[in-house]
Amino acid sequence: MSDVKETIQKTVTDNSVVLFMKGTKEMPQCGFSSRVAGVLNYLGVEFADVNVLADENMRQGIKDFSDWPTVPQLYVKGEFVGGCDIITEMTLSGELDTLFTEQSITFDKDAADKIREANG
Amino acid sequence: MAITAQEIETLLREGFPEGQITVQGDDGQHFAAEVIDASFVGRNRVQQQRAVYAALKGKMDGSEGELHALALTTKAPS
Repeated sequence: MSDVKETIQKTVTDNSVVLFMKGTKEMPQCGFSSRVAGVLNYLGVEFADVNVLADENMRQGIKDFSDWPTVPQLYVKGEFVGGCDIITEMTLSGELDTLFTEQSITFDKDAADKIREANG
Repeated sequence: MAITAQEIETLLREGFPEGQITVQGDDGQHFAAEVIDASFVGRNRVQQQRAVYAALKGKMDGSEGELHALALTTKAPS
């Protein structure tokens, strides 16, 4: 079990943006995972995806690691940012832009504005 | 085992007796809950939602958790 913890810690340390999700960013297998991966893809954010369905230890491990019972889970620079609802809210409020800017994560600001226009 | 909107609401009311709670959804699988509670003042969204998950007492948890799809909105009272 501690192996999983180490793997997760290494993954979120080695990658600026990590999405723990059901399925992959090319083929999400859950609507909530799909939504968050979709936002990141649309914003052109480079991110690592971890498919929790591929590994039962990971599926439970990430919940314990984050003290968060659901997937997807977004990490930026080693910090847990939130799940689907939080990411959606932050996208619409512009807080996600602020976070990416502060953390020097490259993203397409125009695309973010377009999401907000379409959901304004 | 399926859960009903009523059961979710009951758990949330136990967890947030003074809170404003709305639960929607009646297909037994997909729900939306909004919790507005004074205890959320000064806490970020992750902390707020952790408190809500705690009130749901493991219903969200594990592969056999009864509750898969809960859209959650948390706010401090304005």
